Amino acid sequence: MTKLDGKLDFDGSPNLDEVLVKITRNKNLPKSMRSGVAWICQDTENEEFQYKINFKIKPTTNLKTVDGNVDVYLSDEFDYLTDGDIVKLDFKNKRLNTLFRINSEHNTLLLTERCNHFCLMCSQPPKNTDDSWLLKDAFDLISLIPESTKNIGFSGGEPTLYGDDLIRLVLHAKTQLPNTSLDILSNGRAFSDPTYAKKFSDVNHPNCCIAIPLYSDDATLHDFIVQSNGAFDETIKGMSDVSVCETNRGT
Amino acid sequence: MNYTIEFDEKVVSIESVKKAAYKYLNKFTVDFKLEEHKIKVEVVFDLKISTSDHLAIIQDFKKEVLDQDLREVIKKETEGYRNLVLAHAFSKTSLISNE
Amino acid sequence: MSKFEKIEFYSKKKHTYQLLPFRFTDLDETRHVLSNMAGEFIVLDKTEVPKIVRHELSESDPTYTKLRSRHFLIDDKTSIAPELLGIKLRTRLNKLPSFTALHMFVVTLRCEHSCPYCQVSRQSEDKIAFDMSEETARKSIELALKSPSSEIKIEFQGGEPLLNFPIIKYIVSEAKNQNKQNKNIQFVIATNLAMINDEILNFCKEHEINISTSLDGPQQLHNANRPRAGNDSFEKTVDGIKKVRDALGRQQVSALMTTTFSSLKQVKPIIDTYLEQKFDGIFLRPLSPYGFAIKTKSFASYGLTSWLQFYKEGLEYIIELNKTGIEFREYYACTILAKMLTSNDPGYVDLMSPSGIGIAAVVYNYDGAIYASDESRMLVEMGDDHFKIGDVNLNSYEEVFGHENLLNAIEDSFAFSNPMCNDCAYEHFCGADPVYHYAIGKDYVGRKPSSDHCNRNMFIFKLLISKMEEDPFVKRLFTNWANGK
Repeated sequence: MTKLDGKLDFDGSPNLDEVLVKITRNKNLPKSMRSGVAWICQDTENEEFQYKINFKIKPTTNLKTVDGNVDVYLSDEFDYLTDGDIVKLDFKNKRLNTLFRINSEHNTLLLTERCNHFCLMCSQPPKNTDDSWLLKDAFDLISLIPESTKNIGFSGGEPTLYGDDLIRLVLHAKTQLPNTSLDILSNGRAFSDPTYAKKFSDVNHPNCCIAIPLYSDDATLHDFIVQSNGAFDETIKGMSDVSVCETNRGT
Repeated sequence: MNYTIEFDEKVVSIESVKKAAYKYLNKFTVDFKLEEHKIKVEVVFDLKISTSDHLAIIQDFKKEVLDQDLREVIKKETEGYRNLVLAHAFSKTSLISNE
Repeated sequence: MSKFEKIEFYSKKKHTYQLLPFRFTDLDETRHVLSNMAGEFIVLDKTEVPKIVRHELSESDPTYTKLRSRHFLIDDKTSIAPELLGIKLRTRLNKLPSFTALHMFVVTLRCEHSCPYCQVSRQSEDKIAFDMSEETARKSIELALKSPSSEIKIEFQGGEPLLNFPIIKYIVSEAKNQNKQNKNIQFVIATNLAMINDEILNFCKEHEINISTSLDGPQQLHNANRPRAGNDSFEKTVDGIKKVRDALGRQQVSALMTTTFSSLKQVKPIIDTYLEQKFDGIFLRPLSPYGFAIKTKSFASYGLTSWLQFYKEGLEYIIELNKTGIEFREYYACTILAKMLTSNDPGYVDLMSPSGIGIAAVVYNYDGAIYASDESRMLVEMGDDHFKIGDVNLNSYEEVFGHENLLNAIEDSFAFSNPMCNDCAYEHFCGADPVYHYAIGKDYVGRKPSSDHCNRNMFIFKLLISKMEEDPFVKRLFTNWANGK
């Protein structure tokens, strides 16, 4: 399985805690295009990139660093990284996260691990901590994702817990990636507030699909599965409120 | 052959009896009489219905009266919801609870 | 504040529920069909209904959850049912505003067949007397394009429409010229295919015109039903079907049968004929009372019992075919099943309430007369022009579609408000047929217990539901049919 999250080691003193970078394997990338780009190479070579990612089977220790340059070491689990992929280098916690893969048809952005449901079968049990840095990363990431990308998704936890901030993010996606379809996984309950539904609809994203799971036609069973009383009713109401907004707008 | 069936008006309504009788239009015709609180229904079978079927049809008719009575109960109890559903179906505004 | 709970807190509260509006009608001796306001249904033992109504059902009852999730009752666990019912009801009715999808143009009454069950055609060479003129065609097109629907179907009928092929060409080009609102126009020619030739096929290909033909059954039955000089109607039809498929494509030709008394004992051979001719399904049509009534001046019950047997046998045969892996449908069942199992109304004229006359279909006759439906045209042939709602040369769109007889018929026959229909659990799947009931008794509503329309459809509803209940294969098959698969 593709490892999207792993340890990194580095030499030098980066002047940031973390940064999002695009990956390239092209040694000869023109200098004018190297800002914000990290070059992956198998062996150590001296080039003027801001960040250099070296591929090593084992970390080595005797590399020089030049001002502003950092050598980052990754294991070969990250062999798959290729031109156009976007990763986050977290120097503070010594982690690398792959946030976007150019060869994947469905890139999903995790927006939060907080959730107002507690589904029996959830593969991502909710955590009640402030992880709004994930939202910030999403803003930055969307600015880096190529315009030709066909599809991206927002997931969680429950993305609508961000309220108006989620709406800002959708607007940002519309502006930066107007040709990219957007799927949002949500339990839909926030949309049972008609004001919120309308705000969302007014963004008028050209190709946005809100995917809302409904686990039964029986309210009690659905509520049991998501472990939340009243979930069924609110979810249905949320779905219909958004539809009404869309219909009124003539889409 | 004629049959007379009696219903107690305190138990089933005239409406229920009439509606039930309507369903059997193609089998028999009826005359109604109301005496005090007794609904008297005189049933005259169409000639094409054979005599051996008469009793079974009469029994069916009585069951239908009971069904009609049940329908009246349902109708009364659900009037409010029926109006609510129709209001939702024909409203132009969004389906919000503060309507 | 007292910490003590009131005594009510400690009494065992019985679980309560409230009823939502529903109807119930017999399915058979021991079972009822219950249907809710949106037409969703459930089959229950007859002993259950009184229990439900008397609030004796407990939450642990297996039926309870089903009834709650299908909006037959409501309790404190969920309150979204009225809104959902409203949405479903709205969906069922949402095609109404875009009315009149089907526009039938009777381009000529001339025909070289002399089918005994046909009420309209004329054995005549007189083109002036029986052909539609360009003037009439042009005005009819104007009216047709005033329809609010963004999709319209223009169907050429007759007599034999290909005998007036020039006017068909004129109508196709004129319709496209006049189509300023860019409606999606589909064309169909209903023809016996005896006259088909390369010129016609090329024209059809160029303008994406589909063909609908008549195929009554195996050769002997078909030729007996549909005489023509040379007694070769069947051969011509089969030949024509092949030609159309080769020139236009496999899905471009469909067939309809007319059921006569001779058909009634031959349902399997008829279905086999359709299989041989590679059709995906068949519409087992009822016996049409109009031709018979012309002869006898009477609308007595017309072979209903025999026809019901014919239908049942045909449907069962088709189910058996599907069990062996052959995909073949019965189209009347498909229409009903769509109404039973989905919120989509298929828009089949004779099975709509409000009635489909004028709303789903309208007929422009060769002489400029406008009829509210195909049945209405047949009624005129019997001397009653009650459902003639205008003339293209004399009346505006508003006059035609606002005609008193049309509106009264639609309003009065609205099943939701008719005796027996308004109690009937099957009403959502059924339709109003004011033309038929008017023909019988000069009354748009009719007396349902003695109405062939009612008895026929009730039989079929019960048959389809019973079969789904007793056989999971049939349930899956019918669900596919309902969804157009």
